[in-house]
This record gives sequence, C-alpha cells and structure tokens, in this order.
Amino acid sequence: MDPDERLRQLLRWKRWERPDGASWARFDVALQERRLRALVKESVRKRLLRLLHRVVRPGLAMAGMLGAAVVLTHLPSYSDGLAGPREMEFLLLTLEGEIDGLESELFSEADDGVCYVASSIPSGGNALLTAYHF
Amino acid sequence: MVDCLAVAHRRGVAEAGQEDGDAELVAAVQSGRMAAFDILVRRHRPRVVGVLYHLTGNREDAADLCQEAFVRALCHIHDFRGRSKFYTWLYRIAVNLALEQMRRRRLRSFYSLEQLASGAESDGVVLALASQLKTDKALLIKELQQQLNGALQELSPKHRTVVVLAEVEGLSMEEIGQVLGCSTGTVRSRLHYGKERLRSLLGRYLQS
Repeated sequence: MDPDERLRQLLRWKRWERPDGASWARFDVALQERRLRALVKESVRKRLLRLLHRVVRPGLAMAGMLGAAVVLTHLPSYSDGLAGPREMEFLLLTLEGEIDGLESELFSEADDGVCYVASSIPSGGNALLTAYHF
Repeated sequence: MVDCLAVAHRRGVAEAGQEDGDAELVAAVQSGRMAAFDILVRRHRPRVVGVLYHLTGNREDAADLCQEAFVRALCHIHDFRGRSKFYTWLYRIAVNLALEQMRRRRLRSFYSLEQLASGAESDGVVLALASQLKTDKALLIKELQQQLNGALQELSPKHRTVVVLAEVEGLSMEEIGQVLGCSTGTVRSRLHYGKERLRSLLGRYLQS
C-alpha cells in the first residue's frame, strides 16, 4: 500500500479515541461551573466599571478645575498676562468645552481684584468654589 | 469498518456544520436564550474535545481547554457576525487556547491517552497491520495509540494543528485557513511538511 494512504488511514484511526459517557457527565458539570463563574465575574466587572465611571468622571473634572486654579493663581505668566475677569471667563469656557457636563459661574469683584468661580457637574453632584486673586 | 467510521465522522461533521441550524441557534443565544447554547455545546463538544486532545495529547487538558473555549465563545457570542461557520469560529477559539497553552508549557508536557471506542480493533488499518507485522491485535492497538500520539507531539504546534485539522478532523484547506487565519498555500505547505515528518517517524507502520 502507498505509504501516504497508510498514513492517512492511521491518522483517521485516531478518531476512535473518544471520551466515554461518564466523561461527558463530568464535562457538563465542570462547564456549568465555569459558565457561572464567568457570569459572576462579568457582572462584577460591569458593576465596577459603572461605579468607576460615576466616581472618576466628576473627580477628574474637579482635578482639572483644581489644576486650572493652581495654574491661574501660581504661574507668573498667567498672573501677569491674564489679569482680569474677562480672561478668567474665557478660560472657564475652554474648560467647559473640555470637561463634559462641567458648569461654572464666575462672580467677580472688580475693586478688590478677587474672582470667585463656582463649578459643578450635574451628574456627579460635586461643587467647587474657588477664589482667584488678580 | 473504516468506511463506517468515515461516514459516521462525516455525518458528525455535516451535523456540526449545519450552517442554518447553527446560525439559528447562535441568533437565539445572542437574543438571550441560553438553552440554545446548551444545544450548540452538545453538538460541537465531541469534535472540539477531539481536536484539542490530538493537539495536546492529554485528555484532561483537552476537556479543560474545551470548557474554556465554550465559555469564551459564550462571552463573545455577540462578536460572532456569521461571516464564517460557527464551528470554524469555535475551532479558532479552541485552537488558539491550545497553542497558547503549548507555548506556556513548552518544556513540560504530560500525556494521557483517551479511551478507544469499540470498533477500533476491527478497523481495516489495524487488521492489515496485525497481519503484516504478525503481532497480537490488542498489543498492536496499544502500541499504535502511543506511537501515533508520540509522533504527533514531535511535530511543532503549527504543523501538528494543520495535520490534525486536515487528516484527523477532515476539514478543508479553506476551513483550516479560516481557523488559523492564514492562506491555503500556507496550510498546504505546513500539511506537506507535517506529513513528511510523520512518514519518517512512523516508517515501521507504513511499509507494505
């Protein structure tokens, strides 16, 4: 017989190697357990992601606001160059464009050179009141 | 007997490959009817376990990887768009899992042989070899099982995968290409090399 054909027959013979009925019963039980574990894992993962989304998004926005406040109050270039409520208003509008849902309001006291900015994110419910000296 | 087995196997392939049936079941699972997934599992598990067993040479690993493949398939069932047959998609998941495991366990592998279904001893190739080698059938079967599995494990994982999918499972070159994500030319060349290597390893059983 052609060696190629014999090799094919031998490889096909391997199909006789099969699990018996008892193995399938064990297989089903183990698969069921894995499915349940995967289901629980997936649901925990989804919940964590939702929670993270709720907590981190407003937090990030607040961090952005704080960062902006630090830049505005401490960096000389900003203090020197943007010395007035108008420039502050422009910066807040830019921030609002970058941070989804951020709402801010500017209160200015022209005579003492202090600006108050109230910021909040409707979904997160956080609020921040910042005072800037010019 | 060889023919009976081949026909039964082909029937299994055909059943598993009922594209319409599978497509409906997959759609049912995608719409949340989990009972349909159980039918898919029952329909495809023998072949997936078979492929994984021939790849790993270990029946416990095969069952373990097969369960993992089904869980992954279920978790990603919404990613299945029906561009290929369900079973080639499932094979792809299973084969990738096996290849990943083989890479991890390159230096240690344990073999545990699967049981032989009744009928293996009266297969044409066994009868022919028993008479040709003038040896006891029961001994020959044991020896054949070990030698065949040993020889397959001598192949590199990518050559072994192609040989198993083509010659043991009976998949077409195109289907293997889909499973492995490579061209049919690559599949053909790997199959050629793999079989050449097997011919040198199993020479004793291939002479007339």
